[in-house]
Amino acid sequence: MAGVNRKSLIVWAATLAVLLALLNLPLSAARGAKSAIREALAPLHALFQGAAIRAGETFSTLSGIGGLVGENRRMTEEIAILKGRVRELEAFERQNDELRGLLGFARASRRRLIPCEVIARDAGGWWQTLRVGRGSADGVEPDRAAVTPDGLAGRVISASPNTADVLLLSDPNCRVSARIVRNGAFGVVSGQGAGFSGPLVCRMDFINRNHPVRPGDVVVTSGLGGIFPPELPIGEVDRVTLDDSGLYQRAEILPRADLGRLRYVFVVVTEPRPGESPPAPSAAAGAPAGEGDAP
Amino acid sequence: MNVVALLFLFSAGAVAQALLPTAPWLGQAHAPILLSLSLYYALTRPRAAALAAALAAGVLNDALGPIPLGYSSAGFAAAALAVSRYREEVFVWRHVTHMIFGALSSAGVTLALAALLQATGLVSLAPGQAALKTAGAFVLGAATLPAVYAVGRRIDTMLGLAAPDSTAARAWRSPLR
Repeated sequence: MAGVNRKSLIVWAATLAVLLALLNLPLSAARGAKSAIREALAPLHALFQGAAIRAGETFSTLSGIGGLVGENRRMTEEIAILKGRVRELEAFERQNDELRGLLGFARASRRRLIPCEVIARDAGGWWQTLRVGRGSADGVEPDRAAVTPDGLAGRVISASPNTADVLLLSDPNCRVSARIVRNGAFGVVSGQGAGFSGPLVCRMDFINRNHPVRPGDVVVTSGLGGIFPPELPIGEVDRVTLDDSGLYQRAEILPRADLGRLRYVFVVVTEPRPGESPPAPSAAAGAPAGEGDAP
Repeated sequence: MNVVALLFLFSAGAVAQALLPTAPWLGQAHAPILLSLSLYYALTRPRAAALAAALAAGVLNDALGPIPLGYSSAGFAAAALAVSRYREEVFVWRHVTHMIFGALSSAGVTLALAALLQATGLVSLAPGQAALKTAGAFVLGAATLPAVYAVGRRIDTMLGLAAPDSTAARAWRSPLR
């Protein structure tokens, strides 16, 4: 009996010791440990993500074939197989078009962009983040903007040698100093997370009420704060209200980038392409601060 | 062999948890695969092994997101202890027991993490959002643990760590013997 109690005591003590050590780990050690685990899992993430995409495409192909067979019962098996192959080729063509579009976007951009494939999303569901398969070894560093051809996606919050985490624009912790193109009014855009249904939305606060905002107005980054370059499209105004104090306008923004289905993002490297001058920051007197608070 | 199986299960579970989609009506809760794996060890192993598995699963869970290291380990260890303590109190149909253990553990850990993250200022959740997320975790926990148990059991059987026809936790062949 005493032996059992002693063993039990040792188990309790060891568990508590490990827990206390984990909870009190210095920040650098915790980052190092996390980085090592992410690095170890990154190849598996990429492998499973690729397999999941291929499985989805195959399922889509097969369901298409099933529909055709249902509609054309007399069609021969050979024709069905050929149609299946055509569909597979169409899937490849779509992927090819998408990649060509992304390549064109990267080439057309004034800034140097690092293309990154999305390999995972936040496993806990507490934050709106995604993990990409490029890291500090490729020049991806924390506090760099992440964009898509449609618009701003978020910013890098951490990077290990071969992976990086991007905090999406839709996360409440992601704050971006923004400007409305039509009237030049400044404000701060922050994420609102995922609603019960419908698309991910953001909110623009602290808009001067003397500059009326209308649904459909285009919102871009202001360039203030140093993280997000100016003039990156964020989204469009969906709804406008006054905030609780009645001093400022508040606008719901629909992000341009489809944040729920991102497969690729580009991390903006601050330095311009060789031989080009950096884009001039916008005039921004009196604009609100608050960009880029970490979660 | 037991450690190799644990490493394989946890790595695959971590990757699957990060890749599986979630839904707004579940409060963006993810299928708690890593928690379910630690509960599987609590259901089939001695308490010491269950706690070690819970700590390891918690570290993996935290490493996959911005949660500070140790938060999930504490929650997983508490859930594993509770399941280990009550694993003999079963319903006639074993899957119902697993569903209840999975649902309650997942909801409890989610609620505790929400309180902890809110208290430390890392997230700001409205009460409605926290309730929706907890409810989502409850549903997903009930669905995930029986599935994870079946997979874990099959792998243990393949590796000779459990008897093929056994249904009770005591049928497990302990590596400590």
